[in-house]
Amino acid sequence: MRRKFLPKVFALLTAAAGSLAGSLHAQEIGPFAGYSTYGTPGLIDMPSALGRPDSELGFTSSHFVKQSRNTLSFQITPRLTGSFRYALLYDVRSAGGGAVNDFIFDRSFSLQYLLADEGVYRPAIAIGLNDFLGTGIYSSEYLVATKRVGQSLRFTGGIGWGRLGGVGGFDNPLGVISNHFSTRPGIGGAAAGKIQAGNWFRGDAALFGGVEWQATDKLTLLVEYSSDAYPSESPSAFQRKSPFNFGVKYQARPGVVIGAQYLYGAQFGAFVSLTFNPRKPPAYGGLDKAPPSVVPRQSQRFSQQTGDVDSRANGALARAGVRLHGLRVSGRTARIEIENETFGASAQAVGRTARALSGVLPPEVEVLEIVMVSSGIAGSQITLQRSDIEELEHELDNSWQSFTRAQISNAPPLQPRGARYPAFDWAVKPYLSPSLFDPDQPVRADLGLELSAKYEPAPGFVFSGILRQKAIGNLNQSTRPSTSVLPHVRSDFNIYEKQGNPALTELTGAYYFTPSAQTYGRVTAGYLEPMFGGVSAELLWKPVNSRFALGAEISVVRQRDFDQLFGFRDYGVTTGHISAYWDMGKGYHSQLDVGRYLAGDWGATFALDREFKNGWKVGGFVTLTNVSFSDFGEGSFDKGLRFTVPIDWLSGNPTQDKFTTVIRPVTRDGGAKLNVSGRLYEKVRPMHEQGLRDSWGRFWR
Amino acid sequence: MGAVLAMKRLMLLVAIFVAACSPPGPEDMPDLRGSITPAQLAQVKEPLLLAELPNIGVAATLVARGRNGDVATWETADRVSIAFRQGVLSGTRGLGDDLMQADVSGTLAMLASGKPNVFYPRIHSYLDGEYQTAFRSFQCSKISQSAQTIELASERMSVKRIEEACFSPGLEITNTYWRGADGTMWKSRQWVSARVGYLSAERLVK
Repeated sequence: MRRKFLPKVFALLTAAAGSLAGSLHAQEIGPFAGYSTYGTPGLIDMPSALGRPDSELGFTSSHFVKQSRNTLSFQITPRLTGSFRYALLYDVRSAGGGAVNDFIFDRSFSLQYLLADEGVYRPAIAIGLNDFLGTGIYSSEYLVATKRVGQSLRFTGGIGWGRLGGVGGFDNPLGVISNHFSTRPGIGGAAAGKIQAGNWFRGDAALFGGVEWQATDKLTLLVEYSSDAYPSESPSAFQRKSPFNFGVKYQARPGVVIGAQYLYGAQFGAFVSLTFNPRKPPAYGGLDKAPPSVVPRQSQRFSQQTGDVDSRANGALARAGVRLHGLRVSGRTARIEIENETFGASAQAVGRTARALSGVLPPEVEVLEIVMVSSGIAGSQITLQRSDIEELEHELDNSWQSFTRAQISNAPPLQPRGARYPAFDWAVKPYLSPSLFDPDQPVRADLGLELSAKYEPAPGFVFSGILRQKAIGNLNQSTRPSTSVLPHVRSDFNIYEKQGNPALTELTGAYYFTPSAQTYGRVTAGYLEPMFGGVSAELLWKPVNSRFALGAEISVVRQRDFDQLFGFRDYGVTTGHISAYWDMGKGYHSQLDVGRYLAGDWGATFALDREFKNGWKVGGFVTLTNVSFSDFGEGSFDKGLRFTVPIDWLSGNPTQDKFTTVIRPVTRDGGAKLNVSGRLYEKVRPMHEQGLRDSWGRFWR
Repeated sequence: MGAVLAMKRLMLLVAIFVAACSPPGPEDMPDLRGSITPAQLAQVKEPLLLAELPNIGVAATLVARGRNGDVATWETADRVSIAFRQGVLSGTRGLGDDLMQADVSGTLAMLASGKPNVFYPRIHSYLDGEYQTAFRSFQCSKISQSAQTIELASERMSVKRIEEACFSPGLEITNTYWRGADGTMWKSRQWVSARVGYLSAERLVK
């Protein structure tokens, strides 16, 4: 019955839209999908085959009777879209049916993959999975095709399973392949959090579809036929009366779309999406102070220089934002040890060093050996010719030319200048500590002041501490008691947040060293992180020009008191991992850790990040350990998303500060890792060849 | 004496910068030109350049900071720098969407002896959103040339006003140069980048 209805509707819509298109000055419809109410690429409630612009981050919020969906989406690759959703549902049944709950706060993931691009005649085709990890309320799979017709119309049609096979369903066509597909087993309950692959593409299927019309350059009108029966929501939350949805979307500003929709013949809903792209910094190249100009040896200015080379070099570098660690001039060669504490791009510190010293070093010096130093570790040596710096300063392709003429090699042992050690630094700055998508509350956050201090008595020795005092916030309002059957290594986090005020989040002494040319070492002792203290030792093997690294960390720790001052609790554990790091190229990075976790469980963590050369990172991780899914509790295993936003990307002013946050659907005790500062891989990476290559565009900034 | 002069110069620059640091916006570029008096300028004994960027609402004076070959780099008191190759803009730093480098050899040849409607290339380099080098190439030609008398640095001088039009896919820009008989660039209006727009520069003190 419904099956015959659908083509008629399409014909009608086409005719209506076509006549409207003729009467108005319609605009060309773009190559990207809009966001659906689920925050995935789509129409209103239904998916569409097209994706979003590569690397776009989109936050969408949609509201409809007794339900809100807040979704964070990321265009992981040009073809793959991933979404994490936090839905607040009132008066609904669980996925498996049963009694009506007052409310469910549901977290779910979606993935969509573009199988085929749109051709002249062929539509774009995509496959998608919704809620393949969560409690299954939104569980569905689909295959969808989208084709642009004319300038301003776009047609979408697809076949859905699970929730998308709910209306006008028919026997699963995949039943031809195997009877396995004919029925869909029950879901939810204890299995929540597991990948529900056993259900995929099973049970009845149904067709859905819709039309988008780009009415003006900012206004899109949408009509769709939905195959979603709202089995959990109707009739307890609202009465679904019709399969048709009508929507309007308006591009209010670049990156901001607001919308309204009339859904299921029942109610109006509202929609907003905010999008931005890590590849488009608001401040573009940044507002860094002008770099030092090259002073060629033959220029008049050059001869005016007088005084001690070391102190003049120190002054010139300080003005350029670079710290001088050591300087040796012998004959034609100057060895300059620098610390970059200012710039996110390590090559920018190298370029500034070469220019700042062009007017300082004696004229006979031709070879500049710039050694990059961090925490007393010499990471690499970049050898430049002074005459190249003089020659290339104003050449069109000087970034590439200077990179090809630079030699990047292992660093020699350090020879710090006398004035470098001992050194004491301190800072007071604000901190923001958010807790996103907690099971009881979508957003919690604390804002306060952070006092940090660092004392370096000798190369490689770093004593540091961080004290935090909360000013305002509601992190302490999380009251959900931990029900974990494992040692409460993380799940008591809300007690830490309640009692740690002020909190001594870190107080450590660390020693960094280089046991051999390609290995780096660290030993840290003290209050390592807010919840654990003890001793941690790490070794990292990473050749200067390698995209691959191996590391090992072992820590003997004891759980800290909830007040995060000096006391400890009874629980102690030996934890550690063997880690493999791989910079896969094209901006993708993966990491595998295998070892023992804080609760004493054994297992492995796999993390995949998309890294942008401007410092942004967007990634996800999963951990599987020998803790059973039922012992782990809600969520079944540890997983999450993580984001790093470089502050200089936001402000345009040079700083190495970053804002990093991890979003976990739920924080439990299985698969929990110690979180020690100063881990070697991220410390060493910017000083190595790939880090320098990636940042060399800023060499002449 | 030197110290006093330096102090006065600094005060002038500071005064200029207070004006320049008002919140930027296309319409609120500070009227630096109107606020600098000839008396103030008379005290400045080194070359001084006035730069105005109406698109981002910034105006400032600059002093010569560096010279490498035929490129002179000028800098503001708050360390924004602008580099000119024989008066033709070749780079900026500190404006955000900076012009990283420019190959202006065609423009220089045109200024020296160019004929109208003869096309020559011009290439700019910028940083993209991941701070990697991105090039933009133009085809340019001289579109007008006239003799003018302008008043600069309290002097009237005869200059050649030369206009250059440059085309790049989706973009057309016009650079204007006021050049003295000896080749000195007394005044110019040159395009920097999509977000910074045009830079107007003129010599306040020779």
